[in-house]
Amino acid sequence: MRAGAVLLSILVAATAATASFAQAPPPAGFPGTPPPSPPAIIRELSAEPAAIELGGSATLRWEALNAYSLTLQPDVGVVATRGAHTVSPTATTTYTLSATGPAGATTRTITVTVAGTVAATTEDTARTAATVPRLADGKPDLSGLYIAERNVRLVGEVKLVAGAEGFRVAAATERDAGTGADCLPPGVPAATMLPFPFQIVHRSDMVAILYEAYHQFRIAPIGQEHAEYLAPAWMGHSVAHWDGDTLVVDVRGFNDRTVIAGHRHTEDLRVVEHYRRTAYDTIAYDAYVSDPNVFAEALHYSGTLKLHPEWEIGEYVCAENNQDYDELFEEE
Amino acid sequence: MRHVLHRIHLRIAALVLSSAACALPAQAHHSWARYDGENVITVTGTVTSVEWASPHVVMHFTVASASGEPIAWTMEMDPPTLLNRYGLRHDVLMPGMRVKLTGVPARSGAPMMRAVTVETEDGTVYRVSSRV
Repeated sequence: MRAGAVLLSILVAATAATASFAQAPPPAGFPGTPPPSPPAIIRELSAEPAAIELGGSATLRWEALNAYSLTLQPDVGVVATRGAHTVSPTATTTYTLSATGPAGATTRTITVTVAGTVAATTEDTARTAATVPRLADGKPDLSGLYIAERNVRLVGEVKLVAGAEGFRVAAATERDAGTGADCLPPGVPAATMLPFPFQIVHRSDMVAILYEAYHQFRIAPIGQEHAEYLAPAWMGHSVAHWDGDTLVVDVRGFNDRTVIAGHRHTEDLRVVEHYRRTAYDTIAYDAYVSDPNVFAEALHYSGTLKLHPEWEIGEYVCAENNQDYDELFEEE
Repeated sequence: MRHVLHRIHLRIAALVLSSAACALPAQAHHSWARYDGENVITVTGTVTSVEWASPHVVMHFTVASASGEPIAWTMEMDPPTLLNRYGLRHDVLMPGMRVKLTGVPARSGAPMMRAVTVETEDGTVYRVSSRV
């Protein structure tokens, strides 16, 4: 074992899980036995000033680490990992910041005292499943920032047509850095399955999906047909229609450069996606992938997309720091 | 020299010109295949530089050998957008800081690792990978 390397020993300080929202999904994708996830930590929760006159206001500030989801209650709701919010309580109020990460949840409270009042009885203001937003035409509004967090998975097995074995991509080896190479677009539905969020912008006549990863996007007109000619594209060409309250996005016109379920494909690839907003904070997602030259049956991917209204799409310039990995991994 | 972007550009150009039947390039940034996932290690060292950029934030640091000589190590973690959401800002890890890194080492034996947590001197443990 090389210098400085010793076996892992990290103590996880488990804290009471008192958050009012669902537990974060377990991490996935570690290539062996994963070490413990680090605990969620609330580094700061403050009120300035902590005592106000009736009609006054105070600023709440917070910062958390290793948290997947945070809420500040009452009155504030879902919040980002750090931030500030001005409150004007009409009675003495205790605010609770709940931070949930892969290792569990923790909470911290701060009280804003309002002179001449007694402590208020408060209720969570989290929105519920009954409040799925709607567009002007009455259809569900899918707008929002979502992430799949690796919970969209292949259902069942890959079945190939006879003679298609050559489309299989060899499993990554020690010297093979894998197929997600060189900052090129991942295709569909891979772009949805990455640990990066994406913004859905939804109008009655179109839906746009803006991916943080690789700065990819798709725009699907609703109610239109595909053009007769579709130039081969990494992310394909998308059109959409409604099936009840499910938005169905039909994607064709792919190039043959991406890899799906460990297989290459042809330009006859077709992906049909189903988006169904089942709750304010959840979209049920299914994708059916077919290529008659490769797959004997359509592949079915299924999972949920979680809303994160507190996030924003970040800048991901993949070419910025792509490096020569053969050099990095050379024995010195 | 770690930064060889001109080679990357040439490789991308070669890939674009290649047909789909060609093998994928041997070098890329995403796979964990070159790391030994069953050998989780903890390494303590001193930060020398941090490249806060996508697709992976890369940190260079030194680890003292048995004879006291510094050994240059390289560590990669998630990209800036994800680290920021975990709560790790770009101005936390600075040259000269002592850090304890947990992650998986290169199978090749090179002083290279993929970190999943970073502990700073004040005992704060930062998540730096979506996989833990």
